[in-house]
Order: sequence, then structure tokens, then C-alpha cells
Amino acid sequence: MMSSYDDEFRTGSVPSAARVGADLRAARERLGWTLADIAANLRIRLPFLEAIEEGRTADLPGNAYAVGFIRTYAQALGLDPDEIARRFRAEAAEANRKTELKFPAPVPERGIPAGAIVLVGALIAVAAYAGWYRMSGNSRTATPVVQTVPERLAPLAEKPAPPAAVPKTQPPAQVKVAEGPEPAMPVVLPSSAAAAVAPAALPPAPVAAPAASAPLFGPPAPGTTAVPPVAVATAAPASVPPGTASASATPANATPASATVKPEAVLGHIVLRAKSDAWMQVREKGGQVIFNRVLRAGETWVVPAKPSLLLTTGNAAGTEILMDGVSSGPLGADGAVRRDIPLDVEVAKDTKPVAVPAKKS
Amino acid sequence: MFSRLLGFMSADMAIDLGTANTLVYVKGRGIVLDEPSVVAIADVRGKKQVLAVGEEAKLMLGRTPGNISAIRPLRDGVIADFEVAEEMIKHFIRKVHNRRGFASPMIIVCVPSGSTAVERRAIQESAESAGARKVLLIEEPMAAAIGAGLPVTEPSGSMVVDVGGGTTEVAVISLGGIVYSRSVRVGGDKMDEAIISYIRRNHNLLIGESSAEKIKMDIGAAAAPWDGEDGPLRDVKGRDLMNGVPREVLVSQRQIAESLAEPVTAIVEAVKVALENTPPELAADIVDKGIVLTGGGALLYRLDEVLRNATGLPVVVAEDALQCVALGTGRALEEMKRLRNVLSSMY
Repeated sequence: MMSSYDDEFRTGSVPSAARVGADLRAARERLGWTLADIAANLRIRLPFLEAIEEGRTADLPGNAYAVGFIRTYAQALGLDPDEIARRFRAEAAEANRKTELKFPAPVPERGIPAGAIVLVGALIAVAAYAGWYRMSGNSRTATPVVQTVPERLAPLAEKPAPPAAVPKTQPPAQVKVAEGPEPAMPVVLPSSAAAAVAPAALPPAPVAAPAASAPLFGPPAPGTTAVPPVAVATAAPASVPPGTASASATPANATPASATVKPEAVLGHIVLRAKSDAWMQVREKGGQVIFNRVLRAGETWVVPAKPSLLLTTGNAAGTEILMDGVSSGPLGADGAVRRDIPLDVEVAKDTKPVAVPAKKS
Repeated sequence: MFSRLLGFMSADMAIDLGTANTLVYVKGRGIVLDEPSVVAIADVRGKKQVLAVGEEAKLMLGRTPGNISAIRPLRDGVIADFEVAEEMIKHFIRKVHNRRGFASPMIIVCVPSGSTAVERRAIQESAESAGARKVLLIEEPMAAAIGAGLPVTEPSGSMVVDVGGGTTEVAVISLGGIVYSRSVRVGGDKMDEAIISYIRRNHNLLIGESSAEKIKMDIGAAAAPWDGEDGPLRDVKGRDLMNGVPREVLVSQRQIAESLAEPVTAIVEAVKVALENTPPELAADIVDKGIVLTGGGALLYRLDEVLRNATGLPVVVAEDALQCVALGTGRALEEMKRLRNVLSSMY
């Protein structure tokens, strides 16, 4: 037998159906027939009959044929074919196996399997989405929070500045402006604020702050708008090239100029001050967060002149709202969280004394 | 869309729509129904109504008054009465679905390999109008070979002879396809007719189809008993043709074997012709493995022996010979993806 299912059948190694075969042989011998007689009578080939009697199911062609031969043989011997077939199935595990039907399938013409195409397609889709998200996601990112330079690092931060500030005649205010990230900080450290403000002989920190930070947060009071942006933008690069004298003069002039305007600028402005460490968040009513960080004790932040700003503080007792320099007093108990306190100039003016106790959350 | 929803609620079925018996295989449940293909139709005030289907209707066969007719909607393996066949399929669908009204199963029906396109279409359409969502056809010898467990997809020839009620299908199958097939319209029905005409001729007694079938199942044989014996005897009752009174005669197996000689010879001839037309390589495979007999006719006593002697090949009767076609069709239903090559549709 050459056909392929024979190979499959040979995997069953031990002759497992030997007992049925022996019974069949015994019955045949009782009747006095030889195997050759049976083979001639039933037309089943002699090797198959021998295989049946010896229980070599592996040598029989196919499952269905093997059972068929055994049934025919049993019937010829006068035995019950169904009973013998049942026993054969019970003893030969292979006989129970269902004939596997594998239809010859044409070899696929395309080299790329469909699965790979699907996978690549999925990857491209994911990449496209990620790209789109990245491109369009800029506007959605939260306002970057730049930490203040801690007090003990302040000298280090100021160090690179002196070489940049070539003209030695520059007042400390110049150094402060050239400090890179520092101008972006709306918050003025008490120490550096003092440094910046001292030569200009100005009122304390809250007043100095708007001069430096106003350009970043929209138009402050009319008088200051034009000058400070120039000062901030030009101070750092302008200090190196030859034209430094005039360039550096600008901030020098500007600082006192803005300083003098400050009292007016502060009018109608709201300043947040931390009496003790407090996390504060200021956002527009639409949801965009414009300020979000922890104010250390003594730090202040000038609220830009925008309508309908809302303040959320994590430590009501440590937060003060300064209205034209007049404190509203603590907003609540120590450690209490207060949300959505309106920072509108008008609203604040009107409601503050009332709102503080009323807006307990 | 809607039909898919309905299909969700219905059990897919495989039907062996036979001339004599209809077997229904339900997906996941096996053969659930095996009933005679008979429908009793009552004529109620000019309107035809189904009275009974299956076993119940078979008892009415040949015993009906004027307003009832017991009909066998299939003849020679194909639909002879379209409407009645549709009613019968409808009944089986309902019975399988416990009379749920809105069942819309997918149905695989087997058709004789020798049937014409018109006949196949008739079968498919009647199943569709009976409420099937989708109807696929499978050729009977292929279903029989699969049901008998033959390795039909091997590159090796298998010969299957399915002796059904109306037709005998002989086919050589290899690599999952039918290499050669031959369908002769000889089967259980022809054997019954042969018995009826033999008894009428030799005993002047007219017997009914059911009686003839019973005799065939009891003592029918393809060859006369050895050494001139008469074999077992049976009474057969009918109407005397000479004087018209009911009468009973005793018939022997030898007589029945004699009467069946003609249909048996036709089957043997069909097998021989098929063997003549088998390509030599496949013929070589068949010498080793022989012929597998399926179908109700395969249970005719000593038919395998007659075929063995006529062809010189080993002939074995499949286990569950009566159910082979239904089992094969059912397997096609269960393993639809793998066996879709053997399924076809007329559209």
C-alpha cells in the first residue's frame, strides 16, 4: 500500500486490535477454513486479512475500509458484524479517528499573505493617528509650568548672567532681565524682586512684578505696554554685540520708566499673594489654565487683566487676594480647598468681602 | 440583514431528501428526523390541506378515501410534485424548530448526481420556498462517501455505490471530487415493483407497495439461497386477480430473489460500466480497497456478495448504510468552510 493515509496510520505503533483478530482467527479455525479460502471468497486481499488477524491496523487501507473488511469477515464467519466492529473500534484507537478531509487547495498567487497586509495596514493607521495627534495636540497641551529658581540656587542661576552683561555700568536690574527663563516668570521671588526693584527705588515686590511679566500676559495698563517687551526681548542678545551701549541703555531706562508707571498699572489689578505655601490655579472661564503652581510663602502673582478668571486654591488660609494693594484677608480655613473664586476686577471689588465666607465649598 | 437575524434563531439543517425516506441532520445535534417521504393531503372544500407527513402519512398510503391522497412527492430521486415536496420540507423545518414560526435555516440538500439542472433547481426552489434562508446542494454519492468515512480527499480512488429508494448512484471519488459517476433509476422502489409484478404474474395476486416493501425487507435477497433451498417463507396478502377476493399466499426467499434479479442486474451493470470508465490508476486503488455500499438498498441480503462475484472486488457494506448520505450531508454542514468545494448552488 502506497497511499499516504497508510503513513498516517503507521503512527499507531502497537498492534492494538489483536484480540478481535485473535477471535476472528479462532472462529475461522473452528470452521476449518484457511485464510486463502476466505480471501478467495470475500475478495479481500490476503495481506489485509492477515493484518486483521494479527491486529496490525496500520497495514489496513483507511479507517472505513478496515471496519468494512472486519464486518464482512465477521459476517462470513457467522459472527455478529456489528459486535465485532464495535469491539474493533474499542480496541484500535485509530479506528475511531474521523477521516480527515483536507481538500487540495490552490497555492495562493499573491506572495504577501493577507495577514501581513492587515498588520501593515493597522500599523500605518496607528502611525497616522499618532502623527495627527502630535500635530494637532499642541494647542491642547497645558500651560507649561516653569518652576521658579529656588532661593539657594538663585546665585547659580545668576552666575552666567554677568559675562553676558558686558557693560559693567548695568544695574542689577539688567542682570535680572537677562536671566533667560526668569523674565517669563510672572512670579517674582521675594529676594530677586528685591534685587530688581531696589535700585529703582520702588514699592515692594507685588508692584515690581507687572513690569517684568506684563508682556507675557496680554496688555497690562496702557503706559507700560510698549517698553517692557522690547526690554525683555533685546536685553539678552543685545548685551554682547558692539551696539550694546544703546541697547543696554534701553532696559536701563525702561526699568525705571515702567517702575514709575507701576502704581497706575497696579490700580484695578488683582494680585495673589501666598501667606503660606499654597497651590493655586487660575483659569479662564472657557477652561484654559493660565497659571498653575505652588506659591511659596511670600510669593506673589499678578493676575492679568482678563475678564472672568477663576481662582482655585488648595490652601485657602494661605491665599490672599490683593485688590489694588488692599488685602482681602484669608479666604478660608487652613488647608481648605476653594474653587472657582472669580477674579474679575468689578466682580471681585463688589463681591469679595461677601464672597469669601459665602463661597465655602 | 434581516435574513441573517432570522438565521440566528434557526438551526441549520442538512436534508437527505430521499425517494423513500427523508433524514434531517441538524447542526450540532446529529440526525434528528428519519421519516418516510410521504405527505397526506386532504381536500377540504376545494382547498388542499396537509393532513399528515411522514410515518403517519405512510400508513395512509394506498388506503385513502377520495378526498385524501397520500403522495410521495419524490420519484426517482427527484421532485415529482413540487408543491407537496415544499409542504413536506416546510413540515420538517417546523418540526425541527419545535413549531417556532419564524425559523429560516440554511439548508443543505443532496441531489442525485444524474439529476438535470432543472431537477436540481426544482429541489433548491422548493427548499427555498419552504422557508430556507439559503440552500446549497451536494451530490449524493459525495455525501454518501463522506458519510461512510471514506478518505475522499486523498489522491486515491474510492468507489461508492449508493443504492437509494429511487436511484442507484455509482461514483469514483478522488481528491475531493467525483471522477466518474453514474446514476441509474433503479432502487428500492423498482425492487418493490419487481416483487409486485412477480407475485401478480406467478400467483395472480395484486399486492400493495407497502406490502411489497415489507416482504423485501423481511426475506428479500439479491441471490437465491445456496444448494437449491427455498429459504425463509412469508405470507403475503392482497387481492386475487382471478376472482377479486382478498387472499394470502406463501412466498419463499428463492422466489423473491428471482423477482429481484432484474433490478439487481441493473445495479450490477451500473457498477460494471462505472468500473469500465474508471481511469486505470484509480482502478488499481479500487482493486485494493474495493467498493463501499451505502443506502437502504445496500441492506438487501447478499447484494454485496452478488457484486463481489460480478466484479471480483472486495465489496463492503458501510456502517449505518441507511444514514450515510444524511451523515455526509451533515458533515458538510458542520465543516462548511472546509467542505465548501463539494457544495453548489443553482444560482
